[in-house]
Amino acid sequence: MPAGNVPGGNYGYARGQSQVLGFGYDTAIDSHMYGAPGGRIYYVDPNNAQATDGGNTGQDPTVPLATIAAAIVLCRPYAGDTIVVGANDLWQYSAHVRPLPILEEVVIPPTKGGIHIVGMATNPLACSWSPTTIGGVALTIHAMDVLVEGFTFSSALANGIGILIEWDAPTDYGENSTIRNCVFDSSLDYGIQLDYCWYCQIYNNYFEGVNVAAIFNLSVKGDPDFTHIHNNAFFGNALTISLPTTDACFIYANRIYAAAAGANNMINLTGGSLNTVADNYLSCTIAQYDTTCSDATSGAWLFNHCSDGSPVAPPT
Amino acid sequence: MTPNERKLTIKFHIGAADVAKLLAGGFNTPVKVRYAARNSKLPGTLSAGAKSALEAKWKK
Repeated sequence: MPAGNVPGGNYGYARGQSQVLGFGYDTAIDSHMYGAPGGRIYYVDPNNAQATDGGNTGQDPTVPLATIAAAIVLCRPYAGDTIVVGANDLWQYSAHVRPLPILEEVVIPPTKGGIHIVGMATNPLACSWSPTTIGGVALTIHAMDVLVEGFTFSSALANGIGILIEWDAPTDYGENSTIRNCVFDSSLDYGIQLDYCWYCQIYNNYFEGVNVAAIFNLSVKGDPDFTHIHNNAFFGNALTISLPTTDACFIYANRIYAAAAGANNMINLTGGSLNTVADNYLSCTIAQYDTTCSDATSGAWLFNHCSDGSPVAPPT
Repeated sequence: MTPNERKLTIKFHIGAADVAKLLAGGFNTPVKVRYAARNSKLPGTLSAGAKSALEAKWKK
């Protein structure tokens, strides 16, 4: 184990550390220093020939764990523990040198609140994560205060789902989740499904061509109220932000391109209330704003922008 | 207050007594409450104020 990689001070693996790929920007990995000095880093890298879930600590990057699921078992709740996942080049068009993506359907149980999962690449496209079954979910969050960043969620099989966050007390408490700096690609049916989870933060992500909905209110148990969705880029998704009946959300500074103006295919809050939708950039025209977004009774629609100017009236 | 009671209270702006009646009737999620309000199937024990507020918002 490297000398710095011990409980009580893992400072040797902060950003800029040469042994950790792609660390030129702030990521959740820093929070083990600033938030909880005793935080541990667990390394996962299926492309490392030494990787195994059988008996190692997971805290030595030269002998990493093979699966994220094994790392979650080792993580302690609210201790600043971070799972660092090695890059893979599945996405690249050149020769593969780290060809194995993350192929797992992981569930974070409610006993593992406050953990971080970080894909280690300068661009999330270099850390691909796919479910393993048709219609499978790559990552299901049943714990509170989980942070996920730096992955491309993709699916090798049909009807895949990137992330599902569920709150169904007293068994599941997926809430206050942060999803940032991730990509959700066109092989998925859903990018992020939200079910009764409140106070989630979804920002700085990119959603490209998701087949059914990029961000979706699953609404089996309830609505994802108080969600903040901002600074995301959306390109050519069937539905973009589809959160009907949801209340008290802030949706701002997103960039949304859709190939055509479909019914509520950009921002749909029909039946919701107390929401704020502000400063979003939409590829539709002002005349199409009524079609692509809904609706005026769901809250305040402020200074959104269309291809030919800013609508004066909210969509109906 | 249980977590579900808290969520229903905040979501629907109704009092603890009415939340307890909803939960006792099996309406333990906002979706179930909305569906019942939409179809006039809220529990009869609910206070008139809560019932009218829910139906005003959700009844089609």
